[in-house]
Amino acid sequence: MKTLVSTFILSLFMLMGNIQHTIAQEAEKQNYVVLTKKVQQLKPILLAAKELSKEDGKNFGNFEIIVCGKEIGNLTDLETMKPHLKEAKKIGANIVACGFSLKKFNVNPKKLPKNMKVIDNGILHNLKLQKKGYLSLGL
Amino acid sequence: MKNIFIVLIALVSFSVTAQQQQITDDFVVLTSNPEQLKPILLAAKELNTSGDFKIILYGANVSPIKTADTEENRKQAIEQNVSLNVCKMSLDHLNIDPKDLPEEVEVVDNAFLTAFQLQKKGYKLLSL
Repeated sequence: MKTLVSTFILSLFMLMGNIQHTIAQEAEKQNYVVLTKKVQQLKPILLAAKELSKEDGKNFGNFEIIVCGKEIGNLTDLETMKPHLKEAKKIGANIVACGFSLKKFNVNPKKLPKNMKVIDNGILHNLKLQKKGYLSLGL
Repeated sequence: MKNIFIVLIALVSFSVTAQQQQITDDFVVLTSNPEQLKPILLAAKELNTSGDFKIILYGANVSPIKTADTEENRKQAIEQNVSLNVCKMSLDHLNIDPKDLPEEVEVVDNAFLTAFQLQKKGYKLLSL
């Protein structure tokens, strides 16, 4: 009888622990990072971000878009960038530029759209965010 | 006291197995180059996963998915139970009507969105 009772109490504890674990996981925010080499891909990426923000609701965390590679100069075309930046702001997504690429392809960071963040190394940034649990997509 | 230990060990091992089951055997490969279909399918064959295996094609070069160039690959995919998907945004861009696609090819609205949604479900992603 004693064994039965103790078994019961123990399983109850385990169950409670499991439930708490599930709740904790659900409450955690879902973050995303995309590494792209093409400014043209910003549109479909932002559409995906928008859909995910709807899907996740309150759990939608950060959505970081890193632009790198030899076409990084396209970021300085303010006309094309304007609608993307507006859309990103609306969704709560963040478009950042890879500093390494800017240097390599001689793009002046001052010519980037205002408030655009420059990170040192796009690849490193992506990997670091993945370490933090971000879901990643490298294009 | 001994009994409690036995029960505890049993429960701990049970919860460990339960956690292991959460890891899925599903895979998704994203590519913009139809020529990569062959090596991807070979990889899928070698993996022989008990879960799902999906290939998503996107970008400006997806049109061979409806031509004879990929017929062999498409047959192979059916045989291996690998699902072939193509991005609707890319099709629209190339003015390809989804109705003109071979019936084994499925269409997803946005390849990038699908890539994240599948990862959320536990799929392992390889983006080429």
